[in-house]
Amino acid sequence: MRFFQTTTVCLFIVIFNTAMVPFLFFPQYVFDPAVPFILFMSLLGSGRRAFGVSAGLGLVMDGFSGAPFGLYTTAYLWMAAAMRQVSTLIRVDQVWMIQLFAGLGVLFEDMVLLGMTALMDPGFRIPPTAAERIGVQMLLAAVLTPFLFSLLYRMVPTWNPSTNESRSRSGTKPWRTTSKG
Amino acid sequence: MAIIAGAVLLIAVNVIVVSVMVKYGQPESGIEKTALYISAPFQNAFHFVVNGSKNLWRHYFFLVFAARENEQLKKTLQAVREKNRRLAEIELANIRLRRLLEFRETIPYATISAEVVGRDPSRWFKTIVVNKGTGKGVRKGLPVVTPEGIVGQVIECTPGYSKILLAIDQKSAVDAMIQRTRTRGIVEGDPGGGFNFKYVLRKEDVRVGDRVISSGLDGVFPKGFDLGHVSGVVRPTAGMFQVVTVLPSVDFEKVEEVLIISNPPAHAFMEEK
Repeated sequence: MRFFQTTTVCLFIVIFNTAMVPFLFFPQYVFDPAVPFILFMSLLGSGRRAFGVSAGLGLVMDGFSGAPFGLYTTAYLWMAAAMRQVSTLIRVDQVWMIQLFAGLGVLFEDMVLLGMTALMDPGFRIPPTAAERIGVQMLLAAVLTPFLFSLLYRMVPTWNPSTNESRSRSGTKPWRTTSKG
Repeated sequence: MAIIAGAVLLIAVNVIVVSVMVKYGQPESGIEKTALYISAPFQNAFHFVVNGSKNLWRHYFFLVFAARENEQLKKTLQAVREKNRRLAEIELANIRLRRLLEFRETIPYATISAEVVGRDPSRWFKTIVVNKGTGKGVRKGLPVVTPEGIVGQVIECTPGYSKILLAIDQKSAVDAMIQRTRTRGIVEGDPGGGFNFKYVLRKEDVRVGDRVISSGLDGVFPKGFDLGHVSGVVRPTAGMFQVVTVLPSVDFEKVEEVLIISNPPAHAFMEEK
């Protein structure tokens, strides 16, 4: 069941990115929904599952993309690794933290895609509007990720309380909607 | 017998009285006025009740049926609208496919028509996926066109699908020329979504609005296919080349059907290889 749900979400992300985004207004500002999903899996799921999803999703995205092969996989795997490492050091249990990491995740993905392509291909030029586009993408990711987390929390029961201290112990949401006093 | 006689007499008297009344008119008396005065409010009330009932039926109970009918009509309208939308979509597809077919008949190459089924998931690279692959004769390197002009080049194939690098991607380059002056250069994708027409010497006459077509010398794209028109020319004080920007003739965001040229002309140097 979990596998089916995770696969469904991955499939939706791929379809959204490859078929739905062009029909949205201002598609250049739409962030990759895989970022919140990987953060979610890294924070709430087991490591095996988080890395599995990151690698699978990354390979599919690489297959569809015109970017040098492996960039998506690289970005997703490093993102998952970083998020898991961060969650062992600090408690990611507040909404603003989720928003911050979502924004940073989008920034990281774009940096990997643009930066590594620019490094590998000397003829590649970073678009002049890149900063503005990445900024808007980060902002949108920060605003929407808590809602996506709530949605994913209902859809993908990957909760595993034994693997991380910051994770829920009672099946409630792992993050708080108000800041600590 | 007496009863019959009495009745006949009564009828006769009645007829005579009515005849007299018709002839001389009704005599003035207060009885009618009084009767009218008393009965009129009742008549009015009765009329009000009857009319009220009629209205209640017509405007309330009848409205229940009207509401049902309204719901039914709304559903029908929705279905008709949906059908209309589908027909409009079919009509648009028909126009597009007709143009594609007409275009296909005008070009002297064998083509494979394909439908765009996906786009690049990243917002930084420009590729599309079409629903024809090696199973239909598509292979890596084939040029892809539409009636509007050059779309790109096949870069990856599977039996059912192919990935096409769009001409506006930075990695794309097409040997091109200005149609008016035959000035040659290389059209490359610009990160902004248009083209840069590179390596055009400063001495060459290039004007805004000039059409840019493929030269056919790159060994990929056949000669004469539209790329766009010159949208800006800058002649720097130093350097050998002009900076020429080109606006693509193809709207890459809206490409839905494409033609893959399956037998592009082979050049002598390629055959030698």
